[in-house]
Amino acid sequence: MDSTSQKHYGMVIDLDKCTGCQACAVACKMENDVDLGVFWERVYRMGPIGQFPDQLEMFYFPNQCMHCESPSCISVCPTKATYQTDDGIVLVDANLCFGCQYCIWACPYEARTLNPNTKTVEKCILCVHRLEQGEQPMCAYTCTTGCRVAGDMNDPDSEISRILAANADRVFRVHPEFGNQPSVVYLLPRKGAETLCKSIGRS
Amino acid sequence: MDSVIPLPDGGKIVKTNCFECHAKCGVLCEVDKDGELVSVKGNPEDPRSEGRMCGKGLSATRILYDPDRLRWPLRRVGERGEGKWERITWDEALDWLQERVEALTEEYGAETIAYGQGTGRGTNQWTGRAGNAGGRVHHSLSPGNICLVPMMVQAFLQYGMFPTFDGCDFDNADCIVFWGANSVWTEPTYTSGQVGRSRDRGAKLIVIDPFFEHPLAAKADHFVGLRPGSDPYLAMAWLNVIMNEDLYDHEFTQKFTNAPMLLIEGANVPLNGALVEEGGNPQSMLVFDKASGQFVDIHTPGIDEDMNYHGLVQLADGSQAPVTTVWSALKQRVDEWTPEHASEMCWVPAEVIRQSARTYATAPAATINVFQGIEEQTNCKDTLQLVNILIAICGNLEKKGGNLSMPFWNQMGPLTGAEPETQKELRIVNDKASGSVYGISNPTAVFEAMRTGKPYPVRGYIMVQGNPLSWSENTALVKESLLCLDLLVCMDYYMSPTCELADLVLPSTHWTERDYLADEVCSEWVFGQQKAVEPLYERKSDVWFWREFGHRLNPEWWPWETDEELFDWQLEQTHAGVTWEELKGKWIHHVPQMPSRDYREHGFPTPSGRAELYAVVELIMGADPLPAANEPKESVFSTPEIAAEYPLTGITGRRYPIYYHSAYRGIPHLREIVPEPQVIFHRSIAEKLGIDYAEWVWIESPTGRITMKARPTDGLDPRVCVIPHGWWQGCAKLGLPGYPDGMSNANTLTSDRVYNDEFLTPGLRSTLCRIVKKKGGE
Amino acid sequence: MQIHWPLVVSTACQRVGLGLFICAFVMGSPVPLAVVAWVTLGLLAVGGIASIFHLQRPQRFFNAFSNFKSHLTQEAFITPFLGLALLACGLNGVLYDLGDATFVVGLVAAVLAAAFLVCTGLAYQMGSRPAWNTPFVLALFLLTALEAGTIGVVVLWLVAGGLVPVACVAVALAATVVCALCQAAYVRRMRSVGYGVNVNATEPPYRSVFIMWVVMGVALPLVALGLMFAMPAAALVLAALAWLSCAGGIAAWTVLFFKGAHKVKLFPMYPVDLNLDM
Ligand SMILES: Nc1nc2c(c(=O)[nH]1)N[C@H]1C(S)=C(S)[C@@H](COP(=O)(O)OP(=O)(O)OC[C@H]3O[C@@H](n4cnc5c(=O)[nH]c(N)nc54)[C@H](O)[C@@H]3O)O[C@H]1N2
Ligand SMILES: Nc1nc2c(c(=O)[nH]1)N[C@H]1C(S)=C(S)[C@@H](COP(=O)(O)OP(=O)(O)OC[C@H]3O[C@@H](n4cnc5c(=O)[nH]c(N)nc54)[C@H](O)[C@@H]3O)O[C@H]1N2
Ligand code: SF4
Ligand code: SF4
Ligand code: SF4
Ligand code: SF4
Ligand code: SF4
Ligand SMILES: [Mo]
Repeated sequence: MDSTSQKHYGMVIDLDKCTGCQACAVACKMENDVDLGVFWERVYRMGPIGQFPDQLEMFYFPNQCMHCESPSCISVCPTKATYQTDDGIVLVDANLCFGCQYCIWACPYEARTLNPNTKTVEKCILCVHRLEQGEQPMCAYTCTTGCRVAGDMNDPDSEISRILAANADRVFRVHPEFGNQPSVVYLLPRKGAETLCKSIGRS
Repeated sequence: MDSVIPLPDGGKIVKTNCFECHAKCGVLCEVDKDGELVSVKGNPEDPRSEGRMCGKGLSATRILYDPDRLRWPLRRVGERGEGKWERITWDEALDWLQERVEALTEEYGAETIAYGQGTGRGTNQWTGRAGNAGGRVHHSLSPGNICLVPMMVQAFLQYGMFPTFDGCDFDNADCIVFWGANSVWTEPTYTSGQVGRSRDRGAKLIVIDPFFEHPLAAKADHFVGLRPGSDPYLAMAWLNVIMNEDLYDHEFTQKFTNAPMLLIEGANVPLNGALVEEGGNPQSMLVFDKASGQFVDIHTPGIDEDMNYHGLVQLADGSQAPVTTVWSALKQRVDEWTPEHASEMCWVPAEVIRQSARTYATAPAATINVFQGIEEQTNCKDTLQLVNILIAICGNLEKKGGNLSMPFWNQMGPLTGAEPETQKELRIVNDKASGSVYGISNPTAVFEAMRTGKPYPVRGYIMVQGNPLSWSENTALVKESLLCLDLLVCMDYYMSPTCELADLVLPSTHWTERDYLADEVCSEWVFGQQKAVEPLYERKSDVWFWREFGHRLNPEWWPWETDEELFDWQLEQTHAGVTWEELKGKWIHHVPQMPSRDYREHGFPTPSGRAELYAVVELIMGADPLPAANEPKESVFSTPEIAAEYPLTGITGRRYPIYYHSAYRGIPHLREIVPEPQVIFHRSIAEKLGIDYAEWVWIESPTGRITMKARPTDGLDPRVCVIPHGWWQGCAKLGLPGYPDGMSNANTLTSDRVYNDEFLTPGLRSTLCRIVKKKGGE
Repeated sequence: MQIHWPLVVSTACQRVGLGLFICAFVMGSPVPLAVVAWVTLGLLAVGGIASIFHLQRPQRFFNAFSNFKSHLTQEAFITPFLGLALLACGLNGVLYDLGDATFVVGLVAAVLAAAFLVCTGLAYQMGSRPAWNTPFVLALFLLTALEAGTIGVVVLWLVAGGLVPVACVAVALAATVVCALCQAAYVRRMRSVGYGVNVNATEPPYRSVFIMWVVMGVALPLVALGLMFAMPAAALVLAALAWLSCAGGIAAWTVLFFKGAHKVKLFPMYPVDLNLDM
């Protein structure tokens, strides 16, 4: 297939907007019937850390599979249960996985959990069933701040590409040095994450 | 019907509204061919929520089918609170209830029955109607004194409308202020998206909140981390900066507020026509018109009001009176509160006060969102009035991007019906507070009447969707009171701690199972909130209950035979211009705007026809018509003797985005997110007391003691702590326990000693308390 | 990270068993190589069973052969050949006599054994776990096998009833020292792996396994091997003690290896971690 027409699905999450409301986490559970104790989507918080009231940092960090372009989970998986679609979505075939958990160890992004009921490893599927229908993933659809948008990053006219272009100065990939090339891209908080910004050379 | 979309497989999509919180988001309910609710998602056609939904709403299928939900009417068979029930039919339940109410009324008079509910869930008007229809007094044993009434009534008194709730125009604002409000969690769907968009445009953000964990605090241009309950000082200091630095909107203040209204100095009452002139109009309020050099009525068009008039006026009786303007009288109070002076009381650096005030006042359009942080205080009237004054003088009232009137809120009156003639004389208030502005009984006094029979016996309490053992201050006392009743009726989703004490427990339909009108907090729309599925078991809606029960007792007040008839009447009263059937078909309907939207034409619906800095009606009701910097009645400053023992100022009741007050701790996938109650306090306290993260600690106040897990934070002043409310329910599926007997209930701590004078509000958000490390074995 | 006990058992058994076979083959065995092969097969079997128990769905074991890029597939792929080669060795002299081919079969088995150890070592070398993100991991899988193997060969000499060549004990001592130094260097490195997941092994909660490793993996084997010179009468007991202790040391070391392998913090620039409190 021609590489220019090939889709590359990804998601952008604006950490400046996320309020940690957990709607995405619940939406994911409901949409994908994710079992108790298993999390495809978790919203963490950094901080608050510092001195009250004016030397403090805090931001929320929604965490899910980053659908890496070069996923370390795939290279370690002995069963090929973990695979990547042509559109760049990383999935686990529950019929193949035997629960060795190497992928959990190899993923740098805390994206995977062993489901104690199915005894296989699970993670965010980027709501591929919805993307295929032209719909946003459920977490993005419901996000109360509208801070998460999924789409084709190869299409310069897609909403995600427009958001990334308009916020180029805030684009942030977690741990790029691992070479995983995550397709879930964050926008840095405009405020409240000074230590983070400084450490990666942004102001 | 547009609002029901058939699916090829025999199922359907029903357009309706989530009713899990006030926001009432438009939703699409998918129902399969067997009539089972499959999924719920946001409806992008809702102009407010635009398809967004929060975690509670998204959990509808699990709440609807939760096996712990109540299924049929239950009547107590054992001792009160023993937990023994018999299942009865609705007919039996209503027959029995009617007979009990009639018997009690016979014996003690209608005032012996209190009617109530919890927070607004579409039944405010019907609960009020039930109370008023009783004919003697409506006690309104509901958290209205805590929630919404202070905000709403204060706004009505000053503006004749209510623009600080669903009227915040976040989408067009250049500056957004969250003042004791966390609406991005509590009305998230119609707040968060809009706020984000505005911030992308460069709108400024101000968060006035003691807690840095407010989800916008870190993002705010100004985080004003004040002492809980000290908001009046801050507001005074903002006014100080804005008035003295000349940052207010001159035209609006002069023309559309009552700032130029003349007052007799000292007496602090308006100078009226009858005072200056024999036969003058005692109703008129005078201003000094610079153009004509005359005193003229404030309603006179085309005048040039003098905001700073000062002088001795010759009165009709020959005496002379010193006269000043509202503006000057206000300024006199404000001048005392320089940022430096206020800083001592509110613990905010003077420079932060100055800068934030300037940001608000200089924004082309700015909106202030206020809520529980300033409402649940014994000085709420002052803070609310001051905030309303700020909005008005900065010209942000009825301005795009400011605070706008919304149509629903002025329509309660016709729906509840007139209050009983004996209301004033029979309502129960005591020397704790007069409740001069809110004309109902003080809940704590009603509870006392249950226990003591004084001033007269209150023997019955009938309520829907409320859990007073969670909402009311001093839980232990409430429980003791409820145990004294002859009749306690609760309609609920669950067997709540209050239901456990009842004689009759009635099963309520979930919102997906019932037809409702959604209008409150729906800004300029009304929605046909139709059921998606047929009610399960024998559940009925709260509206159905009030109507059926009301009809039995008093068919004159409750003539409607069906819910549909009642909805039609409601829509008629509110001038919506649709019938229930039409509304159900189209789902959403735009309702007419309030006249004040066009205030240049119509003025404001207040006595002065203007936005009132000086609230004329409050003068009449016996309250201070101007705001003062009042300290909470119990605080580190006003009761140092209590504070010596209980040095922390506790904020009780901060909301979780995934729970609704005391509800839904039993829904496993929600409980997974917040499994346990945590008390939040500064790291230095933990260090001092040797307390580790997640250790169970005591929280003690003069009222009671509870236990929660310790969560040290950096995000608070070391003198403040945060105690979330609503913990009672367990979650068997996750093996998580419940918390019986108020052992982790924030209101076990809260005080029933002091109340706001005007609105009877307890000081839940400034509860003096202390954290105590548990000893081994505790 | 959490300790995966089946993997502690299986990797320890594999190293002890394969190390023994390789060393016996290379250093020359005082007992027939077939006997060594059976010991190794036995240890491999225990390890294999343990690692199958690590799988949450062991019945799907055969899916393991799917991804040749995965070191686990590689390991799985080697396993049957290794098993066959060892079996061939083990049956040599029992069912048949390989004669001159004995060396070739032994060599094949030894090479496969080494390859197996290399795959296991590489499987744990992971970028997402800074403690494991180092060639030390592979080196240590090989060195621990070497240590156990050389001590094992000493035991074999004694079991065979002969005198142990001093060189052989010296090699075992040297291997133990080199391995311990390398392990010590790894432990030292754990203190500064960055990403907010530095581990000081001498402090709780690592302290107890650290001590177990020092005692069982370093001190006891060295002392026991050293004492052999002083107390030749107790040589067999001492050598056996050294060997068992070394195996225990490898297990203790592996526990420490798991315990210290924290996943990178997503935001290591902060002194605190992400949290889920509300
Ligand atoms: N300390 C402290 N106390 C507070 C507050 C605080 O911040 N701090 N907040 C105050 C405020 S603002 C309020 S509004 C009150 C809230 O007080 P409540 O409204 O009483 O609080 P909930 O616990 O949400 O609701 C009570 C019950 O309603 C049931 N329920 C939910 N929906 C329905 C329905 O549609 N029909 C029926 N029949 N039942 C239903 C639930 O199962 C629950 O048991 O609490 C007040 N009390
Ligand atoms: N998810 C969810 N949503 C809800 C509810 C719920 O239970 N759960 N309840 C609904 C109801 S009935 C209501 S009334 C609303 C309430 O909604 P909100 O008032 O928006 O929410 P709260 O968390 O109660 O309090 C808002 C803020 O007040 C701050 N605060 C506390 N004390 C003070 C003070 O003295 N001064 C100032 N300036 N700030 C202070 C708190 O730190 C908090 O951030 O939420 C509604 N929405
Ligand atoms: S985030 Fe982890 S699980 Fe997801 S693709 Fe990347 S490496 Fe794999
Ligand atoms: S746990 Fe499943 S998906 Fe993960 S590496 Fe093993 S087989 Fe592959
Ligand atoms: S994209 Fe879908 S699967 Fe992934 S986190 Fe969002 S809702 Fe869950
Ligand atoms: S729904 Fe959106 S705003 Fe809420 S936690 Fe998730 S990403 Fe953040
Ligand atoms: S914000 Fe309120 S109305 Fe909207 S989905 Fe959540 S609970 Fe339902
Ligand atoms: Mo409320």
